[in-house]
Amino acid sequence: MKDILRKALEHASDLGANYADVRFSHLETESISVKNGSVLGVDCHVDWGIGVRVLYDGAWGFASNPDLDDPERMFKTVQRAVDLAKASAKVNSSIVKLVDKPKVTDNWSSLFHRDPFEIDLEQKLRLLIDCSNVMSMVDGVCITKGSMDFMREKRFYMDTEGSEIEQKVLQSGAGISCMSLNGNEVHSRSYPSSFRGNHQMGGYEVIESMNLREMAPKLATEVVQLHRAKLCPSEKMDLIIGKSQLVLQVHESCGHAVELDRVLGYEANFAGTSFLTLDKWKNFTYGSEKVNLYQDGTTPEAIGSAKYDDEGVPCTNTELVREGQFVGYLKSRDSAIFENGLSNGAARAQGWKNVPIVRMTNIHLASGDETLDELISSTQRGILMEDNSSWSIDDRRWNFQFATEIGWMIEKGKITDMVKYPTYTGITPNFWGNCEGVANQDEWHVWGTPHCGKGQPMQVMRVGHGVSYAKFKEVRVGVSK
Amino acid sequence: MISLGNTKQLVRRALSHSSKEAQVIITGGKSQLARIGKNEVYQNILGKEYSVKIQVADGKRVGNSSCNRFDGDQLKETAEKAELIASHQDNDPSWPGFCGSNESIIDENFYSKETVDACFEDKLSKLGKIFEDAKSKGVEIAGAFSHGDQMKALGNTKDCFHYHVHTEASFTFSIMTPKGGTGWAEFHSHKLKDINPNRLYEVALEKALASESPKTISEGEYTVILEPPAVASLLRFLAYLGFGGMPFIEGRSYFSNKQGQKLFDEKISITDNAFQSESFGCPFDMEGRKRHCVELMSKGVFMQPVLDTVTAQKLGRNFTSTGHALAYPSTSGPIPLNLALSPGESDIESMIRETKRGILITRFFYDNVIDPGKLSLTGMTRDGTFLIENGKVVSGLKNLRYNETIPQIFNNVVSLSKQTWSLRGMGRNRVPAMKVEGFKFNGVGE
Repeated sequence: MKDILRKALEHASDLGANYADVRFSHLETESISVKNGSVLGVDCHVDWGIGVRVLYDGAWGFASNPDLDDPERMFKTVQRAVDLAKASAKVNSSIVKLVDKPKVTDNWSSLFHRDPFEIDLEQKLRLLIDCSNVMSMVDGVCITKGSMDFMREKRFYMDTEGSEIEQKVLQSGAGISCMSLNGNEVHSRSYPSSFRGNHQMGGYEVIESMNLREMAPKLATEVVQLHRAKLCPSEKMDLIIGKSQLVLQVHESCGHAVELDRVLGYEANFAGTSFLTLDKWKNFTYGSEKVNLYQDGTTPEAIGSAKYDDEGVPCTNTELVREGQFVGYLKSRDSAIFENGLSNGAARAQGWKNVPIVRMTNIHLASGDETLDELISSTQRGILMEDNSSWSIDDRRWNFQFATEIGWMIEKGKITDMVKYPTYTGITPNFWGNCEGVANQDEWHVWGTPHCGKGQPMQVMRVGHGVSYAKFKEVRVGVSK
Repeated sequence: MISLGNTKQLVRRALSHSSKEAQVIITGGKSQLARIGKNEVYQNILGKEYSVKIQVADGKRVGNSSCNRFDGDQLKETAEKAELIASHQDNDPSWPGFCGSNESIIDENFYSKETVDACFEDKLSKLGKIFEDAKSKGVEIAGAFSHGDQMKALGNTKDCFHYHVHTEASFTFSIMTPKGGTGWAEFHSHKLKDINPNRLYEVALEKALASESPKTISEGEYTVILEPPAVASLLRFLAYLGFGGMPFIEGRSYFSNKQGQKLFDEKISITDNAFQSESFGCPFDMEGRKRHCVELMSKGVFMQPVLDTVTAQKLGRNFTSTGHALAYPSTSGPIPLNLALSPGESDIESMIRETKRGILITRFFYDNVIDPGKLSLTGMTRDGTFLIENGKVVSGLKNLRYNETIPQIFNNVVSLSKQTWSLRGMGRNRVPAMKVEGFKFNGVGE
């Protein structure tokens, strides 16, 4: 394999490319779905191929090829990438410049204990079917679901600057959910989070640590109780959010907002831009001093982790917001030149057939000093929301609205009634500016979002987020009525 | 694309590796995409990828496996994996079996060889002058210019074989001005030569300049004129939340138990029609059944959902598959992919002229469902939101957040345009522009 990649690079240089990189990816996935106690499907997929990216006269070209056995096809792919770059160069007036990076030869693998692809399929199905059956036993539960997803990917990366990197990752995820219907009133509860559960770097031990079977009865009870719950009030009040909801809040209003390619206008036609324009770098109050957000592309259990990104740049720990002040972007080699001239290892591509673009690796909200109990007990009137059900944010990451599966009123420092259809809306810097506290490390947990979409053609990326709970004052809740 | 002859051979080879009943689905295609940002081509991508999915049924035990390679060893491994998965499963009582068919469906009607083979240098050369003009006007262009082909083929051990190919060319154009104006234009066709980048540039530029220095408008209810991309966004949610057979049967759909009831204004008639012009719809579904044109909503009355074999069986003897199955196993059930909202008699200019005070909306962004049972949605306007006063567009507006239900919107329709446009939805939808009263906004963008 390495010889094929080296020959592809040599050919690109022979054709006059100023720079080239090649990436090989071999991906295996297993996806299991259970519904109402029966197997809905087990799907396995394997794919592999090579993507070639070249710079010619300061413009990019990219071509991909799944056929690795035919050297002529490989050379033709390289030729096409060069031809595309040449065509772009003819209409472009500026020249792409790449910031420096170290030349690296390395080999890295993520850690796991139990290979999920070696675990008996019946064992996996049995766990999900058991959970489904337990949830179905509760009167009022109409639909139950369970899922497991496993992926392992082997990647080779090489470039004309001399780097040669081999990386292997193994990730596992699972989730259960149930639904209850009463007329047009539909409620869902999910665990550990909605939309096929939580995902982490690691093997089957990730699934075993979730205690899915133990959590199933609680979910089923709650989903039925939601029908009798009060409607989320419509007013401004304190809001505490946690778990997968805080994950989405960080993801949408911070993670995407600090992507430098959006800021520069390269995603303006599709994903959008960002209110965090270049003039705001180190010159803008993003949140209260309780807010510390950072990228850590090396968090061992997070699914956005690797040792190097898809440009061969070491993955890093980078501050994005320090004590409320906006201090950093996510950057690739061609965008970093517009900030401080160093990539922070955030260029990623889905598989072999896509070009690397600026992506989140893992974006974390640093834990604070308070306990969750202290956040609740300091709240006179507020609401606690968990488990995302809906999200929407504008193309500049400014105005957002979220809905969760469940909420609880907080009155005089204590959790009281369950509320249904909880929603809240806000303006990103105002919302984070009203952050009164972040729960401590005891509540901090790493979550995985495997469905982050960006780019054209759409690249679905696996992103990690570490969060605990956070409290925000004067939030407009109950906005969808 | 993989030619018809090669596809038949490939299907036969894949099926030969299974000792059980089996089905093969081949999907994929070739595409070229130039992405534009800051008045430059910043990504120029060529890709070709195909996937083969092998389904094996051992009685009522079904397994699936797929790969992106067609060599003998890999097809054999994929078939064996599917058999292994099937052997570990319990009987699926709802498994309908593979579809037998006497009539093979071969559809190459919307294939333009020129669209696939177009020279990227020629294509981009058209953009150079546009970039220069944009720079001279001090505006920034972003966009995506793509063309290529897509195929779907299905064959099984019951002698069913279907093949569908089409080409597609697409151009989306955003323009931003230094004074906060934004504009949008898009066009899609199966022929690259139908796309006129200069005309799209003019449309987007006109919108961007007209929306400069946008004003803020207070939250509340307004008469709105939704341009076709905004209407297409709404239909997308109807497709998977409302008109699918699975949520209908399970009681999760707004339309559950409402067959024959008048639910929307009588101006609203919706069909799913894979055969309409420029829909590029596949004439068969992923069970191998012929796709039918289905009347979903007639003059505001809900008629029926789309069905696959499983959902039709669950509904009873009076129902048969409408040919809308997705690939097994489908977590969502059958979905309409080619919705068409019937046109009216109006046009956008008349709608504006007849509006005393209202808002013209180019498109929505990041819409999402809040309550699926009520079809309630939220989202933001984007790329051209305008205030209308006394029959004229008077200024641009900052983007607005809406919170609405589709039943409310479709009951408050004032008029629909005579002209319709083919736009992307779950698959591809054909929609008119729409004027609606009492549309609710509860937030403002930056």
